[in-house]
Amino acid sequence: MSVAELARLVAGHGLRDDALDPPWLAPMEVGQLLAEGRRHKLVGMLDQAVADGALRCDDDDAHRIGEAAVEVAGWCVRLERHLLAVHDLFDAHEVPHRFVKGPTVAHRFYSHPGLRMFVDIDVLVPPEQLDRAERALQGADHQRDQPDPYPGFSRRYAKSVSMRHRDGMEVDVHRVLADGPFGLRSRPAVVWERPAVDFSLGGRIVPALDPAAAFVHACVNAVASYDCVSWGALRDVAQIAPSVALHPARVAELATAMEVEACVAEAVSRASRDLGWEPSAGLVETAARPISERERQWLDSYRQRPSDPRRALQGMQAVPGLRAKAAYLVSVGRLLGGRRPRRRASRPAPAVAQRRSLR
Amino acid sequence: MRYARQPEALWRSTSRGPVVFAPGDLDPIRLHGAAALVWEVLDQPLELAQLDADVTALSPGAPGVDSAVADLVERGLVVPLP
Repeated sequence: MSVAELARLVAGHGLRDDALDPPWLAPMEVGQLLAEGRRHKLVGMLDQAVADGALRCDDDDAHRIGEAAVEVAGWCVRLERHLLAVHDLFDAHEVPHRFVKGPTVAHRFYSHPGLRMFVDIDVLVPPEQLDRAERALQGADHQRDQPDPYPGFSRRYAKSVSMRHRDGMEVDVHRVLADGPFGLRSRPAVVWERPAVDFSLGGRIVPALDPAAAFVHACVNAVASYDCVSWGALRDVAQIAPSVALHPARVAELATAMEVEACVAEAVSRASRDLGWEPSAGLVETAARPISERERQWLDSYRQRPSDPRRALQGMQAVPGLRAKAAYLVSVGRLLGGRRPRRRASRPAPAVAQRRSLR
Repeated sequence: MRYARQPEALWRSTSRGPVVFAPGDLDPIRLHGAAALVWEVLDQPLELAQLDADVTALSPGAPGVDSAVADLVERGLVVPLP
């Protein structure tokens, strides 16, 4: 069995009956599998699979895997402490927010959070609050990983802005839940119209997405991301699904409103096929929705790493409305052409406006 | 008297023992032996006698539950409740 196959086996641990003859890990495979585990966010699940006997190895290798899980767990709890600090910061700066992915999934949808590792913090804010969120984080020793390629570009078109604390912790501030064309097509307001769900972390209450939104986001994250699609992301789909199994209509309604039905269909199909997971009848029906040719092109584009012009073309297809398409085309055209936008000449602010800005 | 996990502690289970990050600590720590077992069974607050019984059920003959509890209390990882 290849290391990739072993990683897939780990990702599906507990979703199906374990093999009668669990595979034996050779010492050389353990190092490779740990590397895959880190890449696919499966180190905790790997530790559990070995402890459960779903994978066999000698004591030294089990120890090695366990120690890797300890290291990952240490980073995760440090990130959780940082999440609580970001929550306080955003509250103090009156930035509406919902934490997504990582700890919000680990604590709410897995039997114990150690099974679900994460490497950064993800938080969703309304697009018009993106600049304020960025300034708040900058004031708290975070720096942006990459500058805005064009003034206002991220606020209008990016999925997220990555900010890094001086201690190395990354906070991804999301404008939308999906990357690329599905993200450009979606209306962020759809998510904000839904009430936040509180979840408890370290004795504190922090805001997160409701289960249907968390499930849709897991699907989107699994199939509509330019990052490596991790087995861990697919596992999230299967892991959150029981929380929405009795309410498939809520999932369908939200996916339709966000225009990501194709992502849900694709993610459920892939998780079922690749992890041996059996979705509920309601989700099977939701996932049976046909994928159009354009949606298939978009879904494939995340795996194919399209050129910038092709990505720009797909983005223009996705942006709704002629004026918005034109604005997007101009912005991207300037980016691809390497020309910086002309700035308006600065004028002294009127006295009234200055007084307002001091509040 | 009952004992409970420090509610503000952030933690995770691993096959090598729980990793716990208490408020005010600079670094997370991994618990071993009886301390690890005590931590794991404290899903709900427990009196010492029940704690001892639950730990023994997990690991017969596990020594030092009392001293493990005292140590965890001293480190602020476990809190006594009335």
